[in-house]
Amino acid sequence: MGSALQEGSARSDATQPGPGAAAIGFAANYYDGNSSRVHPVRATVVAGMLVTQGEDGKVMRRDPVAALLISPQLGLTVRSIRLSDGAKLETDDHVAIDALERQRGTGGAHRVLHRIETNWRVTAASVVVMVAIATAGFYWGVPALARRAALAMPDALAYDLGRGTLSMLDRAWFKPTELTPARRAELEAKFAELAAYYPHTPLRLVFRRAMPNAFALPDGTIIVTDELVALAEHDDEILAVVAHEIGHVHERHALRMAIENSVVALLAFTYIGDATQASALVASLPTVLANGHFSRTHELEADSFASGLLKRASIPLHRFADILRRLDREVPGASESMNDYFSSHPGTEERARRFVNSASR
Amino acid sequence: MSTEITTNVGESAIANDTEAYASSASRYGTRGSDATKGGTETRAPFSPEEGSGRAPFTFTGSAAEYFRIWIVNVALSVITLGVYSAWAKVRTKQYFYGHAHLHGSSFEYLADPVSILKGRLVVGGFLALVFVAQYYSLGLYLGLALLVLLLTPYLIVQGLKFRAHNSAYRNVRFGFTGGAGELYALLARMGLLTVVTLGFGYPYAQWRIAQFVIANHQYGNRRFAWYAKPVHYYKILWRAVALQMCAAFVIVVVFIVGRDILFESPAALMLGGAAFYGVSAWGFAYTQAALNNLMYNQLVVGWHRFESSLATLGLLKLYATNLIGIVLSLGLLIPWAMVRVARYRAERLAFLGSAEVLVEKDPALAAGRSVGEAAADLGDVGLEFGI
Repeated sequence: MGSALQEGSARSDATQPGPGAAAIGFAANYYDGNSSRVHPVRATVVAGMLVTQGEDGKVMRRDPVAALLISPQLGLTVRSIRLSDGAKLETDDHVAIDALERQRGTGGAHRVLHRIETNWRVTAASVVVMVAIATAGFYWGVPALARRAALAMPDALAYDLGRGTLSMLDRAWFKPTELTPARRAELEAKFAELAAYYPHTPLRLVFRRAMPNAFALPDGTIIVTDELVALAEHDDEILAVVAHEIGHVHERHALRMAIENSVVALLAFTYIGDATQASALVASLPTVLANGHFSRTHELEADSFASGLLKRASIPLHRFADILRRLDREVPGASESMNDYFSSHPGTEERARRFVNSASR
Repeated sequence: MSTEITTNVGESAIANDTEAYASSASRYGTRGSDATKGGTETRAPFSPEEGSGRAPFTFTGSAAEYFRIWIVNVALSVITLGVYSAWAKVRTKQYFYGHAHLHGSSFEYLADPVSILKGRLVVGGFLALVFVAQYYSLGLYLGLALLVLLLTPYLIVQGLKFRAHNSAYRNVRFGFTGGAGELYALLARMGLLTVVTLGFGYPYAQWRIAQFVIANHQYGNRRFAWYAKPVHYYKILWRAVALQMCAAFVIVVVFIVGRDILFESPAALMLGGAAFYGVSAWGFAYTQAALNNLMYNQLVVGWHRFESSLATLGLLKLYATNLIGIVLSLGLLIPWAMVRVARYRAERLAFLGSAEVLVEKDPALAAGRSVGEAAADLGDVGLEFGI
């Protein structure tokens, strides 16, 4: 900081009595706007005019106080005063500038903003409110928003989302089924009975070979693996898993997950992205953590949908709990869907118990 | 490195004081092999008329002060559903510019929040349209995506103009005179070159784009001249690639040697991952430091030059501690991290030349209000691309 400015704050005479009213004066740097030359000056308010004097005491200019454009206070950053022809005064004498603004009755809104920004109590309150809003937004706001947006989308459009997914999965993950046509026909017939209790969306059952699991695509395609069929000790167990997958279709979880993740990623990048050069790494962290939370919520929703559907179809609820426990025993981790290994799913035992208990309700 | 030349000049502090330039010059002469000096071996031409002054950039902002401004910015942005974010951006920029000093004068950010808000609304609305379109029709989506691709160079140039026009020092604005058409042609040629040379032309392309961005800036009537050579980029990017390959090598070795232990013990798996990220981060910090140093050390404005000495290790420590702080504080230490980065960059940046930086306002920039004003219509949408 130049010596002119430091001296300025030291000998600020905003409070000193002058001729008539309290005189406002401060040291400043003057820039004419045409060149980058620095002129150390002294500015004084005299009868509604700001008088700028050079170091030699010669008056350089007079500007009406009412026409000055004074930059709002922002922390302890230097204040600038724009003069009518593009010239500028720069000073760090905040006391004098404050007095000048009060005298002409301007800068009120910015003074409030500055007072908010320098008040520790407001700061602490802001932190608490922001943490509360962020938490509420994360647990209720974003999921509710995504749910509304997803359910508001016309059916045809929502189903379109999954178009092409199956052929992509076929190339990347799945092998063709090895179930006999008779076995397939048998399961398809039972599936059709169950699907009759869910008339909202045309459903389709397909078989593939992969790990023991079942998947749902947004267009109503339910994929059941040969391995899951082999694991099941009763066909109702397969239907119970299918009911859970229908829950995913009904609740449009694929679409909601996409919206939820985009919103979190957008917010994370907005607030964290500026702060660090390694933004991609840092900003993706909340997205990964949030993803786990959202998918956990979706699993529980699909469970509760399945228990309703199974009751209507008169399939005992313990079938779902049975296969869930067996899945967990034989293939640890397989009861979770493929893409969220890193998420913290509700424990299988907790899910199974919750499911069976819902029978009493 | 970002294209925010003026911001980088502006975001600067408290230097390791009054080391005479003469001694530092001789020091660099003997340390020419230090990789992060990014081309100090062959420095930009030096004119005897420039004088021998050396002035540090200083940054006087504090984390405690900025924290309160930041939290109020965030709170008001959320409460106003994002509308205040344009004002928040301007206040943030003004804070970092205003606390950056050189020769007793601070930098100034002059943008109008309303034009930033308009720009954000237009671009945000358009991107939302593209997002929704992907669920309606693939053709429409691809068409709009292509439009985004075509508009990007234009928006980048507008952003550079806006940022430069709204940055000032001693009441004289910066300016950017590059044309969007020029950038289109450049990106097309450089893209083609990179593909045809199977990637070996990439450092050249990066150098050429950096040249376009930097040399089209001016301060008042003084154009920026940039004396970096393609060979600098080849050296830096080659080392960066080598480090990245080391990281890949580490991970492969860890997996081959320890594949039995790895999947048994999560601790071992995490250790392997940490080793990989460590070497990667080292490469990242090296590239940042070297390219940033190259940008300033080869820059000549009028008769004035700069001296940037970011260190790979220093930057690495800074980023690592920032990352840990931000994660552990759930984001509350973001302002602390921003202030630390600004302070470090300023500490490591010095201005070489006489104290009286004499520059005239550019009559072309002043008369042709269109340059800045047209850019201001769309505002700064925050598009940046790495050099």
